[in-house]
Amino acid sequence: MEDLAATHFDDIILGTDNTSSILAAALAISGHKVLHLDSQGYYGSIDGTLSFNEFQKFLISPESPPFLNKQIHISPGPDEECNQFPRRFNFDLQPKMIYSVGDVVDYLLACGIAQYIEFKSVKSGMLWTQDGFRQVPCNKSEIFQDEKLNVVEKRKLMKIVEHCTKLLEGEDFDPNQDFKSLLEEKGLPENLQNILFYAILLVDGDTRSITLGEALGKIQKYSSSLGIYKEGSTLLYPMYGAGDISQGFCRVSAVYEGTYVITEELSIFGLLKEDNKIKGIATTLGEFHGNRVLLNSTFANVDESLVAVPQAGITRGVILSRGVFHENDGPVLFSVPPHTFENEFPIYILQLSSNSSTCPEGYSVLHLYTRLSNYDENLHSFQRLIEQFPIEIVFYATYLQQITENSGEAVHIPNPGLGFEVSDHFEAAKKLFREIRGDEPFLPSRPNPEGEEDNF
Amino acid sequence: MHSRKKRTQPPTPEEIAKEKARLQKMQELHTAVFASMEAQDLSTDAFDLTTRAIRTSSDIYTFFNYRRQILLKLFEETPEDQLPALLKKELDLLGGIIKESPKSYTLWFHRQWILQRCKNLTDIMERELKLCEYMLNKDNRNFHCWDYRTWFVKFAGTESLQDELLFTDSMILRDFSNFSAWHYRTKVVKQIYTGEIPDEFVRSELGRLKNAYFTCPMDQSIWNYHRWLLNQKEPIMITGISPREFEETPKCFIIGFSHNIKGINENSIGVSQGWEPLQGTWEPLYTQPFSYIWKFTPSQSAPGDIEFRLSPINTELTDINGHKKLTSLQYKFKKTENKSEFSVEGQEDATFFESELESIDELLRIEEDDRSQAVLRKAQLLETLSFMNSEKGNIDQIIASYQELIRIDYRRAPFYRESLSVYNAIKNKSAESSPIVSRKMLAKILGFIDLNQ
Repeated sequence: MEDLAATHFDDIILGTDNTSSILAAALAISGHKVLHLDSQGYYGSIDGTLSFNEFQKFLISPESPPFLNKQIHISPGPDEECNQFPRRFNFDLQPKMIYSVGDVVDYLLACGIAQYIEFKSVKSGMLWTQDGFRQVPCNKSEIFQDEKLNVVEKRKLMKIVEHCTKLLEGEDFDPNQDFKSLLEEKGLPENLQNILFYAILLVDGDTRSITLGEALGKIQKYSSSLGIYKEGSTLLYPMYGAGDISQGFCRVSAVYEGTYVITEELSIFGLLKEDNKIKGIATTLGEFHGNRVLLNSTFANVDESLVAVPQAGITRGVILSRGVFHENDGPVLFSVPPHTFENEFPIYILQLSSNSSTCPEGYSVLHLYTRLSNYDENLHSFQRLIEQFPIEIVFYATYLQQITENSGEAVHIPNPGLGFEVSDHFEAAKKLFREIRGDEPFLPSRPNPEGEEDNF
Repeated sequence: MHSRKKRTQPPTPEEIAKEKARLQKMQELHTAVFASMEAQDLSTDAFDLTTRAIRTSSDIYTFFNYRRQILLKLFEETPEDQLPALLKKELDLLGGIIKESPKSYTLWFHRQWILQRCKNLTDIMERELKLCEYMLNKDNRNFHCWDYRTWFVKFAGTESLQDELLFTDSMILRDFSNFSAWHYRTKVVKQIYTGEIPDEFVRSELGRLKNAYFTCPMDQSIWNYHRWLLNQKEPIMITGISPREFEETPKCFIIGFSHNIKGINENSIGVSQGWEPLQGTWEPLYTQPFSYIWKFTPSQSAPGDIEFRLSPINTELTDINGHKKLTSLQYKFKKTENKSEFSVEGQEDATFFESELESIDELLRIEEDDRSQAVLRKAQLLETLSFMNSEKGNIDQIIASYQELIRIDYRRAPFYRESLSVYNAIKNKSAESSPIVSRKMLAKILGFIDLNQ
């Protein structure tokens, strides 16, 4: 620690969430001397993946932003496997996924992180309809084969698909046009709109706010990712949990001489200043000096001049169960349209099981999430949804994830926690990187300095 | 592959140099093969030379011809028990090259040639089907491979045509915009049902087709199969009868048919006058042995009402595709006072045609943009129905359909105009001046035109 205290860093980053870790890697690659700290015992901070015990500890620890209102609704019995072998269970604090094709995959390959992380294809397009959850058709051949849609519905859905394809191929359009109005104009009934919004676009909030430009961007992502690794699948989920993504970037940062201190012994007293300029931080482990201090939302309070503006919130539920919603050889993402279980916003459920090494065989972990409307009402909707399924719940907890926009003297790393996409973290990290390093390439493709064999 | 953009960037100097070197090497190889051919060298060295040549230039059939000459000599020299190994080696080589050049006619042909020399086809069966499946997974519209599979299954005689039907199922479900897959399906269906295709099968096919044309109404592959399938259910019918060379009575009759047919004689068409059979001779007009238009010359005068009836027994009547289903309708020619009148009696089972017309109308009611394929098919169904003596075969609707097609699909307007003038003529009972080119169309309006023109 004395060595660290004697070192002058370019950047001191507090918190190892995705955005911070990506930024740490990008800065380290660009030649910055980076000190990266976390006071949790694990990598990932708010994007971490916790073992059963760590997760229990998280749930009973005092509330601190961004996770609030933590509640355990059902506790496991004493002889449950999760008590005996807690490390066999992996709980994401906020599960994240990536599209099979896109900038995230490109970055993972460019940084060589793809060598550390394995992925499982996620089955999506499981939409709650009047027949319960069912695989809804999401492309031409599925629409053709679908047995629930009548032919007129098929035509209407295809017209939208064809229209969007034309626009994506370069026909002129107004990107600010309201997408929902367009669908209504084309006479698309609600059940078909639901397929588009919740099975393909995976919209998390109000559909009225989706512009044509945004919708087409998502459709583009969707269609270029479709069936790349598995038929009918567009998304990937990391084996052993989404926390592996931040860990991977921390590893890259370390390869480029980033320094890591990840320990619960660390707590931060405050920012060090000289002539009103931030010079570093004072911690239980000593003083660390650097040109810049960057804080993620868990450390936002370190900045005395913090202004936190609430943006939105997500209600999250985590269930450990015996049995599954849906038999599948990979993770499954279910979508529940608004107003199905008195839910104002759509509810998404990510089912994880032993095939993604999330839990032992026979168990499944269900992540429920919905944009916050009212916490108690959200829990009520979750409850009604769970009752529809014959799963045996071993453990059930909920919490509220608050998204705030932080600003102050230090640099605040935003928490783009509303969506499920890792690419949001890249966007946030890239924006900060631009502010620090200007137009220098962000995460450029380089030969792997570890000299490991390149398999690609 | 389809829908792939070509590379737009110009090649780099390194790439140009590399390509130049490659071509140089290839040219040298070609010169060597041609020299060796000239010298009629059938040695193993020459054989190895062709191996190299077909690897790099799989489209030059001369190399394959030369290779086959050498192979024939090799076959003669090789002991019987070692032949299978030799053939297998050749198939292995071809398999590798085909994966590189999946669209070389010569390669696929050469594979056929080798297979024709293989003795034990059951051993090879699985391997060949696997190769096809592999190649079609890479490019589901590679018609070379489809053709090869069609040829192979026919050649080797698969015991399970149902498996082949399931194979086309899987390819169609993957992507139904696939002319080859549908076409192969017609071949398999024809092999499974050598007689008439059962109604149940047609019904289930139509159900699937309906889902397909509501999904993509402009996809021609679906409509092609739709046309083929319903053609199997469309009987050979008479589309027009015109008495000619009047004196007291007509000396002959010109008769139009819905199909391009051969084999009409006294056994295949019964002609009668009142209760009495009317003898006479039949001859095809314009073309033979197949023709849409035939001339019947009675051997005695025919003063009374005349009836024509296609006879399902003792008949050699067949259309150019081997189609043999005959109509049960009866066609009557009545002579009243000063004019002659025709009537069609009886009822043809038009259920499939009528229900498909209904489905297409359902589509057209909601589809504003992508209409032309469906409108054309609608017009064709209406035409068939009109000759089937169905109430649904409304001439005005046929005319309206072609008028719409001329409007929305102007590129094919001349094609539609011909049909339009035919149905205008039928409606007005007199032909327009615009010439009708096709015999098929002519066969429908015999009563209104002067055939000598």
